[in-house]
Amino acid sequence: MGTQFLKARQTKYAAYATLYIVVIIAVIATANVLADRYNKSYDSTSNKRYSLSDQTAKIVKGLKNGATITYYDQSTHFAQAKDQLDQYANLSPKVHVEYVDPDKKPQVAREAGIKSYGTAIVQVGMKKEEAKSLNEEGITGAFIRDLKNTTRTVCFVTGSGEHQIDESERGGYSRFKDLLGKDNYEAKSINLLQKAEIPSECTVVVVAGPSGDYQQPAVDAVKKFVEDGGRALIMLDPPLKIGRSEIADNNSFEQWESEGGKDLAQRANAQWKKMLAEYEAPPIDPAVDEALNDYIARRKAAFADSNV
Amino acid sequence: MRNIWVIFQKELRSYFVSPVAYLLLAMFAIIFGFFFWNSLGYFVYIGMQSQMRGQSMPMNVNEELIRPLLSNISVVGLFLIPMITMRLFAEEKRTGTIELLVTSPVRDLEVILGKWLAAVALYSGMLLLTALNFAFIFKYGHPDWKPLVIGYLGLLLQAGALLAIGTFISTLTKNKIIAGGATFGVCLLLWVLEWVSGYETSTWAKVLSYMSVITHFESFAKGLLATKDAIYYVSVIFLGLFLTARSMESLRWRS
Repeated sequence: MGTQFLKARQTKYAAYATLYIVVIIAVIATANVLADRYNKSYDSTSNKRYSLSDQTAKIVKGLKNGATITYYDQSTHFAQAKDQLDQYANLSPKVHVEYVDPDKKPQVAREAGIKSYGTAIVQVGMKKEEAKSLNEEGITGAFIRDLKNTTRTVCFVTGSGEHQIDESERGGYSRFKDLLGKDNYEAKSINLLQKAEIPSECTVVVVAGPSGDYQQPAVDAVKKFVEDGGRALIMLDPPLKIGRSEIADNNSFEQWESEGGKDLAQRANAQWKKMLAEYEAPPIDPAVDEALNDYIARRKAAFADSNV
Repeated sequence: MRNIWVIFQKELRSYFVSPVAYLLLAMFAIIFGFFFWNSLGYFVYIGMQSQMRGQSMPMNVNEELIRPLLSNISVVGLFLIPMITMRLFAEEKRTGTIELLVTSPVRDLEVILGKWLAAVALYSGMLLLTALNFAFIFKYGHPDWKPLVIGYLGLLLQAGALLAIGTFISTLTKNKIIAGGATFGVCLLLWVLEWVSGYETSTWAKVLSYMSVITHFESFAKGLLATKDAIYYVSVIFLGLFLTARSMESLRWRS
């Protein structure tokens, strides 16, 4: 009975058809695995919205080791990162993208040192870098930091009323510092009054809009740095002060009157007195201080005090 | 080739001699028309709001209007595709004409391709109706036309894949309702498989997500022509038609 069943025409055909189907499914599955791994895409949008820049493509395609981008976020938010991260995986089969939900895998997130949702870590070989943002700028920046062994430092000179990199108010350069950070430059302040020498780790020196003249030792230090092959960016603020005057009073007439009805000259007078009272002498190199005092003494001696 | 053409014509005509084609075309046009009107209204509302807030960032018609609308078309298609394919072979089986078909001097492949292409042609007609709505956007706006073309290509490939599955299921029964219901069930399953990727990242979840028809439509909707997505749809079309051929073949050795 069993042998008859095995020899039956239907059984033979069924076995043949099953085998045929299994083989075809295997071929299709293989084709899809390969297609997924070696995907190529054409971006038809006019502004190439879904394409990465040539610079990124060059970096990613030139990877010698495998790289993994791990995105940590709540799983319901994975989709918002996919548009961007999958483009990297499409560039090279060496790049893999992993999605981790810290709520579901807290141990993995803790080991990776994840402090907030929406963090992407780029690992190339053994080196890991956190992407500073989820756009191309941030992720490619992390790739570059992984691949580069040295850090580049931009040194901002302070001491003569320059714009400060730690100030976030109007005139402050904290945003500039952030932007430099995204381009993988470290920004730091150096005070040439304390020590008239450019530190060796500086790749670039920035003189950002000083409001006072530099002393000769500071000028010499910048000059020597540039002559020795260093780069300097010297920026001067426009000579005209644009915007509302600090002593202008735009309050209502009643308020102005209740505050004493001071005119412009009186307000200006109060202002300089306040500035003088609040003034704190900046830390200064004793040699520079001595040179300055000496200069003041000499100049004072050269001219008699006069009101003319 | 000539046989395919003859079967294609016969099949397409049979759609139009019954109210099926007209009903499907009308339903598709009405439903999509509502989606279009609703999305356009919302787009205009958001545009006016951002203008009132003084935001100078221009709104992207392709990204914020056309992309979601293309996804809507594919959703509407999911519901109507089983109605297109359910009668392809089930009707032949019910009336007994399948015997004539398998014994006639026409190869199975020609029959299958002729019928499948007729179904694809009917769906293309439905897509043409949606294009009329988009014509208004071109009249009053300046959308990027290339991503729209890629989006339509994606819709055709996706529908081709689901129609191939429907064609296969239609060969398994002589009851149109069963064929339609089963096709809808399988297509819906292939649709929602993608949901697992929303909360799971294991390999099995990646495989299930890859098998979903909607995963591969995302890139087309964006205006990206990705080889892996095109190959996926072509693979499903091939598999659907291949299984249909095996099913047709089995009619001979099972009898």
